Amino acid sequence: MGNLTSTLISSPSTEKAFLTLVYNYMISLYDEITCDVIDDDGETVLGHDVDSFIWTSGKNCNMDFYLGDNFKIRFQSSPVTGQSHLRSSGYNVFFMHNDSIIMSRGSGSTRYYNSGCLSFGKQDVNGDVVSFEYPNDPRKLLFTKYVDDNVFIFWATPYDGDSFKESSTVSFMKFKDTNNNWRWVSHASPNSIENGYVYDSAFINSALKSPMFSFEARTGYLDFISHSSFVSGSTKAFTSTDIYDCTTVNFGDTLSLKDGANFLAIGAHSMVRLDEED
Amino acid sequence: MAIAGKNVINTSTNERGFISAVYDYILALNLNGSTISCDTTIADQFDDTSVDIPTFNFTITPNIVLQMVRPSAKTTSVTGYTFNVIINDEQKATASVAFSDTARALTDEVERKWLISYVASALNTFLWFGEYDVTVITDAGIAICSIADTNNYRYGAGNNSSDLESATYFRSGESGVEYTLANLFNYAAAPGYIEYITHLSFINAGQEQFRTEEIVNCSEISQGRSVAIQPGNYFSVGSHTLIALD
Repeated sequence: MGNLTSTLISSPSTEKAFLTLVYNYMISLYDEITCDVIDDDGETVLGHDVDSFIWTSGKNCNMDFYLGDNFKIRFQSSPVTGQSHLRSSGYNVFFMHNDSIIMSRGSGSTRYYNSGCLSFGKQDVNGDVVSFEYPNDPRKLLFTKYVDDNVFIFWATPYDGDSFKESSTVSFMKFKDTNNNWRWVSHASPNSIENGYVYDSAFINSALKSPMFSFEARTGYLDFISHSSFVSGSTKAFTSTDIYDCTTVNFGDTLSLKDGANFLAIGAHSMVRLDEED
Repeated sequence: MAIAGKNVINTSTNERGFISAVYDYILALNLNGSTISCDTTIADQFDDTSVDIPTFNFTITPNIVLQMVRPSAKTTSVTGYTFNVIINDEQKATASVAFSDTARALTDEVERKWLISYVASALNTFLWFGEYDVTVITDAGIAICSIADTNNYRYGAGNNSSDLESATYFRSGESGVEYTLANLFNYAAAPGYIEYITHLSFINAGQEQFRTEEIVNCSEISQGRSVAIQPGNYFSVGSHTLIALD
């Protein structure tokens, strides 16, 4: 059983101040996470915190958070020249294994390419977007995580979303299989586990979730089984623990059974257990 | 628990003799306590000169019928018969099943041959007919089944192949509602393993409507095989469906 917590990252100050809040949140997701700030060339390590980050017109600067097993999530700022100042409206986000992009939000051309960055601010009436240099409308992102012993999930929701289940644009998760190996998945849609390829620690043996109950249960029922199966080709590759396969549910909903057990729907046919509320 | 059988009906008689052997075989099937009935007799269809096209309606369970019909008048030569699956008085599947590679006249005393396979439990019946050169049910030309749900409603399906898992199902006596079979194990399990759950789920409009008994939904297997899953033996009626054998 695990906990679900959402945190609003918001700052009315400069983009650097906002990025500091993002950094502080991401670096504390769990113990093993480290950070590199990487220059536009994609190689040069500028440092390991916000002070190393540079905003240069037309150039990328990357904040890479290493999550384990050489997987990382990259927040990339790519400010463009404005009328009189640098400006940006959010981050391009990548989920990567070393230099291989698994999920992309905002730019790039990959298997999971989706346009639209993780936006932390809106355009103003002049079509301008939030300046990195000046305070403007508060920059906002909503970060949500689910944590238990065998499952970790992260969702990022842009400034105009009130809940991770309504408008998340970025997610990744790791979970243990029945052989105690971590598996990794990310997708540009929030219910990542059901749409993305799942990789092992060596970035091979990608597999897809195979929903057993790919239908709605009879009215008033919820059918489920306390694991999920993942297939490679047409052959079962491995089994997860603590990710329940179930009949149709609504992503993000909390489900309560008669015996008091609570579940969180992390996809249309996937659930995890929630701790009982105090 | 179910019983299963596979027989080649093979005669070197005239057509009446061959169809008579098939007729007798079908009606003699003891499908775990139930039997199949027919609306006519061999004599009525072959000896009555007013009957041009012999037609036999075998009722598997009420409203679920396998029709065996000569494709043309007795005066013509034919290579086989047409089988129609008729559920609630509507044709749901049809196929020609040849008993010879050459068109034969009614009176030709030559070899005619069909493969007939069946599996039946107290609540469920599966039947397959294969052409003269078929030896396994996976090559069958027509298939029909009658399946019961946990409320003892009967559902029928037919297909012009051996595949009844992807067929559309209809409830006996109910009009206009179609059901499909949900496969809970859309994969092959690890080598040497079979995963299974002891029912089938039937779906309409994306929602589970009913479940079966005595039939097992399982990970990928070969159709038409005996499968041992301790402590029992099963027969695979499809690539994801097993019936427990006696």
